[in-house]
Formats: sequence, C-alpha cells, structure tokens
Amino acid sequence: MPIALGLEGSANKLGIGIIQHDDTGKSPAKVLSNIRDTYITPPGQGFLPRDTAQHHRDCILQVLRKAMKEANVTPKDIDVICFTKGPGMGAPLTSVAVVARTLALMWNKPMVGVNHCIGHIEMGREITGAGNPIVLYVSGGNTQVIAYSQNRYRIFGETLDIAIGNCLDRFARILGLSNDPSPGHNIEQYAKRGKNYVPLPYTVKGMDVSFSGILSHIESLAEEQLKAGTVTPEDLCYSLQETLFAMLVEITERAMAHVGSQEVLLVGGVACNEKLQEMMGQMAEQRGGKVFATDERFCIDNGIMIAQAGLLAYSTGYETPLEKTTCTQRFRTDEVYVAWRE
Amino acid sequence: MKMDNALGKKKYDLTAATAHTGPLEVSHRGRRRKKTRVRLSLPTNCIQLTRMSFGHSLHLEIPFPTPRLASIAQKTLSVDKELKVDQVKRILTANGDKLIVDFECTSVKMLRVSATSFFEMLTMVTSTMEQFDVDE
Repeated sequence: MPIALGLEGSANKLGIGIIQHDDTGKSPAKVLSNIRDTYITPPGQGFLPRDTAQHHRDCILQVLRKAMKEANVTPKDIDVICFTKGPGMGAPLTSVAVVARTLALMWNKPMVGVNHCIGHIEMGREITGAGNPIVLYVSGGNTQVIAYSQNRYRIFGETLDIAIGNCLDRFARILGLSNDPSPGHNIEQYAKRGKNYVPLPYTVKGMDVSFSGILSHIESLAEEQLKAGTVTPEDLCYSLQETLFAMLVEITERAMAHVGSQEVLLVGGVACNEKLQEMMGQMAEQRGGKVFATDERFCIDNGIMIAQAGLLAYSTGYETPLEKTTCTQRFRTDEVYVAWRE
Repeated sequence: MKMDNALGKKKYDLTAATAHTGPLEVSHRGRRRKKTRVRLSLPTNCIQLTRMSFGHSLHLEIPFPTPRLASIAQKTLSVDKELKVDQVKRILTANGDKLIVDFECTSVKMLRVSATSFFEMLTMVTSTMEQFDVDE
C-alpha cells in the first residue's frame, strides 16, 4: 500500500497532498490529506514570481506539517516524495523543490519530478473514473486539448498566446475585482448577473485558440464604455465568458470528432467554472457523450495530484535522480512517457 | 563586513569564524593567503586576474549540527545551477560539519543578487531540517 507525498507550487497556490494506492488494484486511490495555501494579491494586482516564491517559502513547512498530521503519517510511512518539476514560474518551483530534496535526503526516500499538466490529468481520471477522455486542461497558465495515444498525452490543440485563465484574470484586474478566492470565481459571479451580450472577436484557428486579441479588445471596450455607462461590468464578464468558452467547446468538439471519443474531462482551475461545464455538457449531450469534472479541491492546483501522478510513475519503476531534480518553466505535456497506461 | 580595497579587489567576508585582522589578509578555505603576494614586483592587477577571474568574491562557512546535515545541504543546494553562468560562479563543498560556499561574480550587483537568492534557499533547507529531521 504505497504512500506518496506531493508538493506543488508552480503558480500562486502552495499545495501538499498525501495519497495511498492499493497495489492489489482492488480499491481506488485514497486521499489521505490535501492542504492548500493560496497567495492572494490585492485587487488590480497580479502575482509576481519573487513575491510568490516568498509566500511559498513562508508557508510550505506549516502546510507540510498540517498535511502529515491530517494523514496521520510519519516520515517512515512515506515511500516516495513527488514534486512539481514544471511547467510554471521559476523561483516558486525551485523553492518547493529545495524542500522536497531536503526531505528526501533526510528521510532517505526516492524522488519523482512530476509534470504539472499530467498531475491534473491523472487526478481528474482518478477522481471521475473517466476511462479515456479528451482532456480540456484550462488554467491561468495553460490551455490545452489533450488526448492519450501510445504512451503519451498528445496535445491536439492549445492556445497560441496566453492561457484562458490569464485572460480572465487580467480582465478582472481591469475591473478591479477581488482576487479572493480567485479572480476567475468573481468574474463568474458577475457574469451570472450579465444581461446584454456584447459581440467580441472570436479567434479559433483550426485546432488552436488565441486570447490576447480578445483581451486587448475587451480592455479598450471597458475603457470607453464603462465610464459612458453604455455597458455594465456584468455584461462584459458575461460576454467574455460566452465567447471564450464557446471557443473552447469548439476545439474540444473537433478533437472528440477526430479521435472518436465520447468523454470530455475538464481539469485545471478554469474547469471549476460552472458555465463552462454547462456549455461543454450541452455539446457533449448533442454528440451522445459525457462531461467529467472535479470540484475545486482537485481542479485548482493542489499537492495531491502531484502525489498521484508521481506514485503512478514510481510504481512503474520511474525515479528522478537527485541531480535531475531541477525545475523548468517549459515542460511540454507530451514530453512525459506514460508508462502506467497501455 | 570589511571592504578590502588594498588589492583593488573587493572582498566581503561574512564568516564569524574567521576574523579580519588586516586589509591584506583574506581567508580562503581556512587557509591564509600568503602576504608575499603583495611584495611581488608584478602589478597586483595581474595577480588578481589570474587568481580570481570575475573580480568580486564572497566566501562563506556555515556550521551545521552534524556532517550529515552539512552534506545534505551541499547536495540539495548544488542541484540548481546559477542562471547567469557568465557572470556568476558558485562552488559548494561540505567540509566536516561546515558548508563552504564560494561566489565569484563580475559585479557587485550580481554578487548581491546571487548571495541573497542563495540565502533564501539556504534558510529553506535549514528550517526544513530543524522541523522535519528524523533521528537516525
């Protein structure tokens, strides 16, 4: 019954999770603990690498203690220490990796460096039970449509510039929305009260999407029309969501048709959005398919997903030697050899 | 902290263990560098260039409770390479229960930046050790 400790800190969330696998394969994985601490900036401000790394350094040991206490494990019980190797922000990633290395050397445990995107996918699959879905991975840092093929998670479509969550977060800053609990959550609440649809550019490019043009457009719209009173922030939030999510639905549907899959798995922070889940659900239903999504415990960056993906890799005999436990800001999803699937 | 300007080279010595006794004395891995260097007829600039290519250096000796912990710190902190390799050189060694750190940088600013960054990671290592070490 192997137990893995997972440490995540690629963006502004510091997450630590402890997971237990049943190696007889009879029961699903057991989440022993999953603790997260989010670095929230004042309204109108994003989070910068240096301050984010400082936040992680300030709270990681406390979160680790809490996670081990809740899981009721001691260092002796842990079999492998998993950490986010990338992609993400440099200094925050390294701050977490340094702690992971220290623990591994003190406790004499092997380490596994995990790809953040794969963490999301594997946790989504584990929690929802989706067998072989098209994965829509949407967050502040990534926007990818992924399908599994021959031991790799292949990227079918992605953003050509910024991630959708980045687009939403930056617009929330323009509006001065609070970053608590997250800017995207507050845009979603505003959008629920929107009444008028404002046409925005729609930029799907084949299997890919691009968001920076839409962002510039809506920023200048907000600048001109909010003061004039011709449009409300709620209308803008509503219109932005409608447009962005419709684009995602289109590229996901294209991948489903291409691969012949009937399942869609939504992962990443933006996947928490109920409007996106609803729109994706409508599309899937029309095709006789189904949408799988998890709740905010697993959608938003967390440590348990790192533990999950790490333990899956470890159980196939994979281990990251100490000198390779560096972090990298660019780490493609298809770089990882998925040995634990057929 | 003493600024050593006698050789036209700045040297910052933060070690509590090695006290600065004079402007020409610099500690180098516990060994005193020979004063005879400044009595040579060659201009001091040449000597300094052959000894320290980058110009600004920092030597640290950090005591740990045990050699085991010093070794763990050395291994952990050696994994990440310096980003600006052409401007910063960092060498970490474990000597008994001490972690020895040597920086060589092309400018004071780079030295400050690298050292600050290093201390941030070092304190992560020491805090983790303090709170989560197991008795062997």
